[in-house]
Amino acid sequence: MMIPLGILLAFAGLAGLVVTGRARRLVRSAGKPLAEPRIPFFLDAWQTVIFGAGVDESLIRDRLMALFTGAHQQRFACAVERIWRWGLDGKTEREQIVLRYRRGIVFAQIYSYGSDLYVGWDARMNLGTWIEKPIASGIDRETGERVQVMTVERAVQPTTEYDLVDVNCLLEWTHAQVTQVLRRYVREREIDQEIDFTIIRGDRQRATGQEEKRPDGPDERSRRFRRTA
Amino acid sequence: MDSTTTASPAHSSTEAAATLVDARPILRRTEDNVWDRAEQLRSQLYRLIEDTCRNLGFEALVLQSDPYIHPAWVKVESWKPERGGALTARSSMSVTITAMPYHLYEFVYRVDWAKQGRQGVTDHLHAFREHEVTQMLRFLLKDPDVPLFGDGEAARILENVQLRTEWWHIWKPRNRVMALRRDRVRAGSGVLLAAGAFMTLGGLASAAGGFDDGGGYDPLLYDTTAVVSVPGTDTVTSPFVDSVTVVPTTDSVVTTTSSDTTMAQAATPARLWLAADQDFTAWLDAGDRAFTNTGARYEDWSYYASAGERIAVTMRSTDFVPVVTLGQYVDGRWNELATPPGGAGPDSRLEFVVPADGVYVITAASRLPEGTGSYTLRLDRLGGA
Repeated sequence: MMIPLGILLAFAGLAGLVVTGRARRLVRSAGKPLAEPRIPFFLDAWQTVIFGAGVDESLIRDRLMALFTGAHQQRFACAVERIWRWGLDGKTEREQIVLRYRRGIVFAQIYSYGSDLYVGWDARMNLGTWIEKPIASGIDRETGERVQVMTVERAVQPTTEYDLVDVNCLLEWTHAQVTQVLRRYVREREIDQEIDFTIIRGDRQRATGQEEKRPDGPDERSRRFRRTA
Repeated sequence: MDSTTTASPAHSSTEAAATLVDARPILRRTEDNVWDRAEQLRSQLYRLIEDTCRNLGFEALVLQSDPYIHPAWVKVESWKPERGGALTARSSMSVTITAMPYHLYEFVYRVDWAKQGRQGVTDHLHAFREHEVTQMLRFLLKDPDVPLFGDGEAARILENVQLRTEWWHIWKPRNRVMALRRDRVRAGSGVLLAAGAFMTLGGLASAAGGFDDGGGYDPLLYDTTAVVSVPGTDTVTSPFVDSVTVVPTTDSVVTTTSSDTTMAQAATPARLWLAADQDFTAWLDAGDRAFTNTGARYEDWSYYASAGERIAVTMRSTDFVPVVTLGQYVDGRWNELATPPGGAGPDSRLEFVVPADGVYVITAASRLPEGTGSYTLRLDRLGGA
């Protein structure tokens, strides 16, 4: 009696598992933040020092910010971020102007060193992206549907030629604005200094192969490319 | 006419465009999300650690992760001068905040600390509030000596905010997924499958020869030779015996006929069957029958014996003072046939020569009313029959 009943129960259970396993399953996802996680890869840079312009740091900063954030400029996102670094004799806390366009990031720095003014920028490709990761499966509390719940975690996405074009466009545009502001300033103040506006180019070949390497960050896990957005 | 023919396709394509469903595999971006809130928490924690260090009288290095770095973190490092400038007592702590959407606790903290050569990690924290910050910084910066088991000190501070890390940590909260409820159909199917498999395998094993009980307690143990049947009396069945007669069947309370005791006991049939030359472990507890006059607990064991057989019954217990007696129910009356020699101890032993074939009852009892616990009973065949 026990054996037939056991077989019957086992079949009933198995049938239940098969039916529920084959049932339609939707995906509930938390979405992703407005910005991608940052895993920057260095591309190009430019910098100069203007003698005697240290007192006009805020003037040049305001002029540049007006160009970066002007109403006519809606292609590139611009924000001021505070950053902290461990320096030689303590913590250094500074502000930097950040311009973003898709995966391209340009960090612009304007700092006075005594009477002189340092102006520069460095362009980076952001290798970071969000990929989905399953959390659990079950019955959705809101809808009663059978769902798989997903979250996102940061990962590395390889770069394409389109990404390089995007970051090229962003850095060239930024450089044009910086050049325009500084040339006008030098002319206004009649500063006798020849500024070299030549951009220092980084290794672009490595940018497209970066996804195979471990990104900077001690605990970052390299993973295969899975495009989710 | 021309305008009609050219307008119609344009109208259709507009309708099609209006009903187009965006099914592109693109994750939606959310303005209010846990990752941004994790960065806000990081900034709050950064300020809190800075303020707490200052309140404790230390100017330590406090750093926080850059924007859009996930998981967000805050670090604090202190080199406290000791006996001049060359010696320093170094301590550090790093707090990592991981966003956990859809969970009961949306943020999980991990604390890595180091103090004067010792270090430790405490993970799965559901909070890292002002209390924990103060206690940890006091432990790292203020307390002069490193305890021998510094890990224990940090664990003690963070004990109340730690999530369940093992399934048996039932006193700690579990970071369960709140978006889901239990899939009862699937869980029920799994239970059915397991129960069915268990029953099938159990049935097969039983059919193949039964389980070995390892000599432990079995309520229907028997002597394989004790296959008896006396018509007109109650019968107890066992999986191994066709029928076993127990005498008598009434539940009337009778007075013992033994000369050395005035104990009275219920004359109900014994359901425990004793086999020769084996140890049986059983328990006396509050659920067992008690003598009506003394209140002491007892259990009856039955044994079928042949005329002329010489047996010895030994009862041992370290939990109570045991007393073993042997007798028979005759016409509903208890007829005590053998008792152990006097004296209390962990053993109670009697010897008996069986006068006639029949079922004999061995009463395993406690001498005192409060006596309960485990005991061992053994019947040895000494000879005869």
